[in-house]
Amino acid sequence: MRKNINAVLLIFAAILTLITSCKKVGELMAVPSFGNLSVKFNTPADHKLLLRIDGQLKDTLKDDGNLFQLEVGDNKISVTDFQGKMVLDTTIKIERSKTASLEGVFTGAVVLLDNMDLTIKPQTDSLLIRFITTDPLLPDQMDIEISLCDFGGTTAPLGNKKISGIRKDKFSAYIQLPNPNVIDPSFDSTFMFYVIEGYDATPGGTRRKVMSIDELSVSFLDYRGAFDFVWVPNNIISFGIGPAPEDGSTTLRNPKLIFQRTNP
Amino acid sequence: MQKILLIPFLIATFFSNAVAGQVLDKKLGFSDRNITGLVLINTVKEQSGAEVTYDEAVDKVLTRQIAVRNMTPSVREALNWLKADMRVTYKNKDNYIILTLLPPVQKPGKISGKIVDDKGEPLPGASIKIVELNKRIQSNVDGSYQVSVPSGNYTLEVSYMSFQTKRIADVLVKEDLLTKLDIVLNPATNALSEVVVRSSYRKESINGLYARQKNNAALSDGITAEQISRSPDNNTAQVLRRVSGLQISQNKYVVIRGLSDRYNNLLLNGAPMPSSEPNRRDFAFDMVPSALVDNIVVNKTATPDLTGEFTGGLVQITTKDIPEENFTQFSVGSGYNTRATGKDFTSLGRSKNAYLGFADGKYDKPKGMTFQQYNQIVSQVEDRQNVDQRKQAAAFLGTLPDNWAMRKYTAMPMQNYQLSLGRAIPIKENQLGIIAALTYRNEQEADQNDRYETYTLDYKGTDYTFSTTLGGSLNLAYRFGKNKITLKNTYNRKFSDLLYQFEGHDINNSSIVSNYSNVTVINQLFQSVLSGEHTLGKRGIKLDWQGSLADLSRDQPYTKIMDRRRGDIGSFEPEYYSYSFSDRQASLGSLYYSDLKEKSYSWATNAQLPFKLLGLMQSFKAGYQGKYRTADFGADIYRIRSLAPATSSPIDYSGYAYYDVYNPVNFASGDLYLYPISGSGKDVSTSGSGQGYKGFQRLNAFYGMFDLKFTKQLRLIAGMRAERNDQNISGLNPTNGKEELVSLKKTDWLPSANLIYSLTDQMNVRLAAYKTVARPDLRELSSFEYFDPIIMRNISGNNLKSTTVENLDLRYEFYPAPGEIISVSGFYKKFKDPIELQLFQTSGRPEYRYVNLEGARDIGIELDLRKSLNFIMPESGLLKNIYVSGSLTWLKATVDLAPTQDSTGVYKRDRPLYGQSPYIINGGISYTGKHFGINALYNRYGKRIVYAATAQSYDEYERPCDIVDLQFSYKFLKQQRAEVKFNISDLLNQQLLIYQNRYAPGHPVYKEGDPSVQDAPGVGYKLADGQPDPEGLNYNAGYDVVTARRRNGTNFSLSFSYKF
Repeated sequence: MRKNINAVLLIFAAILTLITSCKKVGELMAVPSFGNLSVKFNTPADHKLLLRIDGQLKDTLKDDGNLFQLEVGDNKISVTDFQGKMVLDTTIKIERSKTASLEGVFTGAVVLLDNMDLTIKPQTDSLLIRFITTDPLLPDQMDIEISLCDFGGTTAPLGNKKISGIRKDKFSAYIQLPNPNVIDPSFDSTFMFYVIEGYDATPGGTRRKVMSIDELSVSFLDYRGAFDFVWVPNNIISFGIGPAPEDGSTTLRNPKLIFQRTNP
Repeated sequence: MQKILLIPFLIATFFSNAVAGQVLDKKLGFSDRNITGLVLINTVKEQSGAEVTYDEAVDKVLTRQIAVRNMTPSVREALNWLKADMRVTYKNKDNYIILTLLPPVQKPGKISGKIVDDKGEPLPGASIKIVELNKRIQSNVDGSYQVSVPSGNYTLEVSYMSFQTKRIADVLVKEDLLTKLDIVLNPATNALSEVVVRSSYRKESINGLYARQKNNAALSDGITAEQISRSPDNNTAQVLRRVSGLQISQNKYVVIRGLSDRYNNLLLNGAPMPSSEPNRRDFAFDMVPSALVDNIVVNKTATPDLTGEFTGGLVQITTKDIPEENFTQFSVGSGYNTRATGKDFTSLGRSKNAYLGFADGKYDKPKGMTFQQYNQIVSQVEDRQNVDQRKQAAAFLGTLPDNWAMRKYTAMPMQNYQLSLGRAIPIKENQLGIIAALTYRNEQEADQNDRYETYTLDYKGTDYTFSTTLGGSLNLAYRFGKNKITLKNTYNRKFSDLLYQFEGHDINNSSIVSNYSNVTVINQLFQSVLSGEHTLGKRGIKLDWQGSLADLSRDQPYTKIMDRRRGDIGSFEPEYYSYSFSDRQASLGSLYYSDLKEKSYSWATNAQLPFKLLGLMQSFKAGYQGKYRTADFGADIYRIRSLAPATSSPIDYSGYAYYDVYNPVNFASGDLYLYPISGSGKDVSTSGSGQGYKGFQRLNAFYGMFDLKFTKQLRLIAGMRAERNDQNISGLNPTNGKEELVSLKKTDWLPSANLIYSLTDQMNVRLAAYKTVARPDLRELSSFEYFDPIIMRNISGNNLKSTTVENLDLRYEFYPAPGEIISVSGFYKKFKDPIELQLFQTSGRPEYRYVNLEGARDIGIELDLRKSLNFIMPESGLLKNIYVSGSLTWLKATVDLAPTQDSTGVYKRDRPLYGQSPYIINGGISYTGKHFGINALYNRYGKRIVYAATAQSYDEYERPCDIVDLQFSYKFLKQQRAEVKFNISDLLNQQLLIYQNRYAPGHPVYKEGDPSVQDAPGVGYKLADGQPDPEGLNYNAGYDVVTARRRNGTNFSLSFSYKF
């Protein structure tokens, strides 16, 4: 009898060990979270581009833009033309349920992208601006000087607002421009505007002044495009120095705000 | 002279004894406590100087170990150890010690059985005399007897007042073995009162078996503990599949003669059992482990002493009682499922106590208030101004357990353990019996479950089911004189966690879904039955009584439906999903809690008065049975909805991982909340949902019946039963939101008559006519709308009437040999107001409703066969042990419909009631040898109507399947105490198809959903010329749409059991 009881107890212990040693917690079957990527490229009419994400072809870029759902994290984006020539290769960070934006301009040779880094912000009562040359007649490299000017022709030079090496294939670094009335409270920002003068800075070049107030060949800045001179807070502008209007109405180079946005 | 000669002898003897005594008194010294007998003898030789001699038999025994009790014993003490431990005795003569081996002690054997009369009724108090020993005992109140005798050949003389004494010779009893012998006594006529009938053991044991199987008052089939132990079955549902005319649906519900759930009934140890399901009147037989079962009898015709509430069959399960011999048995088993074991198994976070059959905190309700309190504030939560109510709701819902993420496990092999012990303890002349049993089982299955609804959905899915079953029983019985008191307690618990994971096309909403439903159910059943049997007076009046309590609970905590969807095929990234939290559709993301508690009290007493008429024993039986049952079902269904913050729009969760959406964090932040709905999506706060029901049933039944023998061949069991039933149920009406009380009161008069004509000792013809009743369950009377989270359809009750059924049965039965049967039966059943679960098409999803049909008729034939193959070659030992068995039930049925139940305008259909099949086939062959056994079983049933609808083309049918089970067993070790079984269950693993007689998509001529059968003559469409099977007799792959596909996999299991 005692032997039987011992045997039964032993069996119980073995069974209990077996049961309690079974796996209790399974491995989480992780699924991705997604955000959106909005892509909008301005391209010349005869140029079509293809977009790849992590090497996988996704779509042809449409004129009115494309929207993609991408896994949260860093996604490698590449844009090629139909011949396979890479025109853009970049990485974009996607956040859950948010829409990242990739806006660009394809010049036929290069893609220009807006800088979507939301951490870049101008100081209070200032804007950030960067430059690129889009007028083929201008030198490949320029140094520019930015001044304030009113409609009456009064000019207020700003000695520290200069950028060297403005190119045709990529944007310059940002420079910060304050609200004119910060520089002088008597300035009315709706009547004072920034003008850009330029010098040929091609290596071995002549440093000839190629954009001059005196020759009315400067370019000037408005804050939203469409000749809007009302000050825009937190404004970030990617500015193209282009040619004067083809209709010959003026020799001033019209402002071309390739990208313009405000950071929250 | 003689004296002179005697004196030297006495002197010599004295001295030799004195010398011998000195040798035996000499002290020995041992240095080791564990020595062999041989070492002990050598020590005796060396240290006492005695000579020791012994034969070869002793030499063998001396090699065994012996325990040294004392390191310095005398020679006598040491030799006595040999006697105690090795049965080696000694003689000492003149310093010579002679060792001899004692013969083994013989253990007694037992004779055990039952004394019954020629109708199979037990005879308590019958005298049984063992002639050779002049030993006399009496049979117990249930006619059983047991006597221990030394091995040998005996003659038994059995006598009982008014019965012929019977003398049975050649009853062979072997040491430590049980000899089974049931004895039949025949009534004595006056002229024959002194006659002693002579019989032999062989003849009487055959008579006994015949008496028990041939003389049942009602037409019945059954299965015994011994047959169960030979089968591969682990639960009662599997066992029942082996009974003639029975089939099992969904692996747990029984269908008898093609009749399902409501037309069958269950008695466990003689007491009625409550329904184990919240939405149907049915019992899940897989809850009862087969190890606890002593026998199962399925009555197919009624007698007045049985409940009148069955039409197909009454399943009577009796658990084990006083054992014939003491035993302790354990069994351990493991199994492999081809679809699951060793493969990935998806589940949500599993309870840390799941393997022990218990839930943990992952299933808790949210804390801080009740759902009832929450429901009172929820209507104010949507208003942005009610900041306090929003905070309260968020604090409450933020405590929901975080358990929505799917996890990957590996499916473990099935585990199965059973331990049972039985003790029969004699107390003076009485006997106390104890049976205790514990069972444990864990199964992990991954069954295919694909669903299709025309124009609605097309899903592929898998049911991942993790289940743990615990069972225990403690039965006590005390037998004294002609009385027996029994207390039987049964407890079963089943923890089942089902994750139905599915993906596919939501055609209705033009989207792709990748969803799951998670349903955890914890079933508990406790039943305690106290009963007594007494035989009074010399006339042998039998009195029995019973009181029982059954407590059943079904807890379904934290049921979850997770919905995520994306645009139609090809539109979006494969894993980019969005969520919809704005409407009241439970299938688009919801939570569900339900709890069913049922208590059932029953009490009964029966008295049977034997009397003599026409020189034959007759009896009259009368009794009363009462039942009081309460049911309380609560359900809280909540749609998950999003809430707009004070100053902005609700969060758009598109692109979120689902477990970052279905997450208590979002409830705690107030971005999501729970909105109470009914199963059909009605708004609880405005129209009422019927969030459950409460009800009770009172039943009082009286009956009187005669069991009369007109001649030795002709027997009639007839009488009347009256049942007064009172059912009341209250709940909220979902249409008007008002509390409603539904009441059903009726007295049913249920006459029955069973006529048995015994053509020969081996043949009967039976004719039975009886009336039975099928009452709606409490749940079916209620308007409560039950939402099934797996099929995602609504099931609602109605104000139903009881069904009355008039039955007629005719059966010829032939018992070629004990344990063999060949029978042919015909039956006719006429139903008035039968209750059926019908499928109704609604503007939303189809839903099910219980309805009363006008009537129905079944005409059926049943064939049953169980026969040894020894007729081929009678002298063959092998063929004698091979049995073939088979049964066939064939059914022709029609139903009469009310106008609202039939869209074709015919109101009469040639179809069975829902759940029925037109035929059931069971076949089997078995061999049982001394060591080796093999058992093969085959089962097939005709196309079963799963759900009926208002037109044949909307009925859902289950395509016939072939099921083959195999078992191999091997018994070994002493007295075959050990047994290994290898089982293969569902070897063919055929796919189960549910289909409708409507065209599937892609048909070149007909559009999807058009009927592929002629619904009724004259309907406004025409089938294609030459279309085969216009009546929809079979499944046609080219014409019929498959609405569900299921496959469970083949199970291979190995078990080992040992009996101490």
